[in-house]
Amino acid sequence: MFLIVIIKILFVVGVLLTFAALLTWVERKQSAVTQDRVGANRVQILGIRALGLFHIITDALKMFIKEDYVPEKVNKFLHFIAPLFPFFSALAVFAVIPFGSPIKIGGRIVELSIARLDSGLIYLFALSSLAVLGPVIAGWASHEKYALLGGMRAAAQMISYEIALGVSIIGVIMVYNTLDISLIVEKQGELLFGFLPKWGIFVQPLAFLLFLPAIIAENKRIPFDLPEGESEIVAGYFTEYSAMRWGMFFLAEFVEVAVVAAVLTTLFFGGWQFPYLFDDGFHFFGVWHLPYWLIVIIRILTFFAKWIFGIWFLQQVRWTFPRFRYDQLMKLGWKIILPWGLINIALTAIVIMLING
Amino acid sequence: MLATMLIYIFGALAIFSGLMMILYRNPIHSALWFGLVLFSLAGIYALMQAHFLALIQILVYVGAITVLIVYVIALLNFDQRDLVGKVTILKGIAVIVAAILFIELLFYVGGLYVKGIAPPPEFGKAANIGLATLTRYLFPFEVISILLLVAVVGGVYIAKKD
Amino acid sequence: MPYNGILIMAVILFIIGITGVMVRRNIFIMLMSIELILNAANLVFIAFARAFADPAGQVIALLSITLAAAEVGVGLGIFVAIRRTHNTVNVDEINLLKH
Repeated sequence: MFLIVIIKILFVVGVLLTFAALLTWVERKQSAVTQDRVGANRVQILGIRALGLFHIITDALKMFIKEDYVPEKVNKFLHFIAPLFPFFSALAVFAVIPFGSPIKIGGRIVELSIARLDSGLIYLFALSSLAVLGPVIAGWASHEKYALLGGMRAAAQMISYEIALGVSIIGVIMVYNTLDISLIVEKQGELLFGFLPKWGIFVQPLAFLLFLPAIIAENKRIPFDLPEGESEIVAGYFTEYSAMRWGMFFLAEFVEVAVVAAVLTTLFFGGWQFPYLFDDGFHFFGVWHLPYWLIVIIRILTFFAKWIFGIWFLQQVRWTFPRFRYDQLMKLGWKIILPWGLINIALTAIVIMLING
Repeated sequence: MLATMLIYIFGALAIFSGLMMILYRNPIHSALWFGLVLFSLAGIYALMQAHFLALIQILVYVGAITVLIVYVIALLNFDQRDLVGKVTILKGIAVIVAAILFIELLFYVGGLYVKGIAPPPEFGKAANIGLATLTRYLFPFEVISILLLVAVVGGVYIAKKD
Repeated sequence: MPYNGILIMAVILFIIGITGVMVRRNIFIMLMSIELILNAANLVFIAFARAFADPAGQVIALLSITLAAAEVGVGLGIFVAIRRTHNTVNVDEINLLKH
């Protein structure tokens, strides 16, 4: 039992870090494709360029051997621990996300998520809210005005959007009637009117529209990257960071992208559910029976396919939109997403009341 | 047995961080120690079958209240002269009073014997607490929601310029 | 469950909070000490909820967490206002009524 949990943890952390490493390449390559450039392709080993994939190795090498410069006046301890908050909170959030349907090993049912919590959704929000501490502490400890401004911006933005996030997700909780993320995914396998999968995006389209900008803002990526807006405040809260400590912030951001995509997949795109695929096979104009191990493999692959699509989508958003102004950001969070989130709750309640009689 | 041990470890951590919180001079350090107190308390809650409360504790206390305190400390950006505390006779008296209160409470608590019964497994889960909150404790719940609204409006009004 | 140990922990946390409020003059640390007192009370509520298998304790702890959030909201608003008008965060220096 203990061994299984450790294997799952190693698997998830390995996948997340691999995704984060790959994302450093995807980020540059996709921006190049979007902007009609060639993109990162300079590094070569024995004349092989491999689409610039070797840049990942050279980047890591560079970050490790660079001088870790710490300015004189910073608060050494806080400066050191600040990058750890976003990194570990992003890794920990993934613990409740199921990446496949339960499997049976030796007569024992193994959930394909590290932990199945009764209040998984609350866990998700609780752990992700710890990430805010990183930028604020980094900004304060750096003893520098741009860093402080960046930290302040990050904190204000993330606290505001946490509320928007919480309000927009309540509709989903009401529809699936649970806080258990594994159960939410299981319920998304049901069919609506007999043909439409009961995915979050189909039963809660408004919640999805509100949730998407809110979670991108939580992630502090373009178009919400004001905390690090380089045209205004140098690099925001990590102005005074270099080498691997900066790399931690960087890596945390990419892990967060992967986690955000996984959360979107899980809550709104059916998680590991393949449409019309049930525990005994396809239900599509008759029943096509399949062995259970094949179904499990299909479901894991489905999750990864949706996940990678989500990451691609988030990256495309990043390279498509310009940055918001700060007042626009606050207006979007407090005056648009929050009220519409409340309206969504009321509408969902009315519809549920009407359906249940 | 493991649960009991973990409770004592978390408790010791909470008490140590609490002491550090009031001993540190710089409030931002204090705020981080405060966060650690809350975190270890969340651990104790989880071990005492209050899973939902443990997560709410992290979400509200660590994720919102601590962050807000750190945010305002960084925002106000006060100078070092505010941090130097003076040792006065009043503070000495305060510590003595606190010590007397401590001994009194200890005598009282030491005399208690709580046996406790094992609660059902679904105790402390979200559904259970939600049901209790929205049926038996509906009135306090509504009152507290009004209080929260008033606090939000009041906070904005007080902090607003002029 | 070590209920007596938990009660003693709660008492110690409570006393740390009380001492913090009385000894420290920085308003932030005073606010955090007050929160610590509330947390000590919460701990007792949750311990007794477990001991008597009654959700009442947990519900009250939930309400008290909400109360703490409201308190911090108003408190920090007041601190910002104090900082703006008095330019200090030391409680001893906020003594306009004395003069």
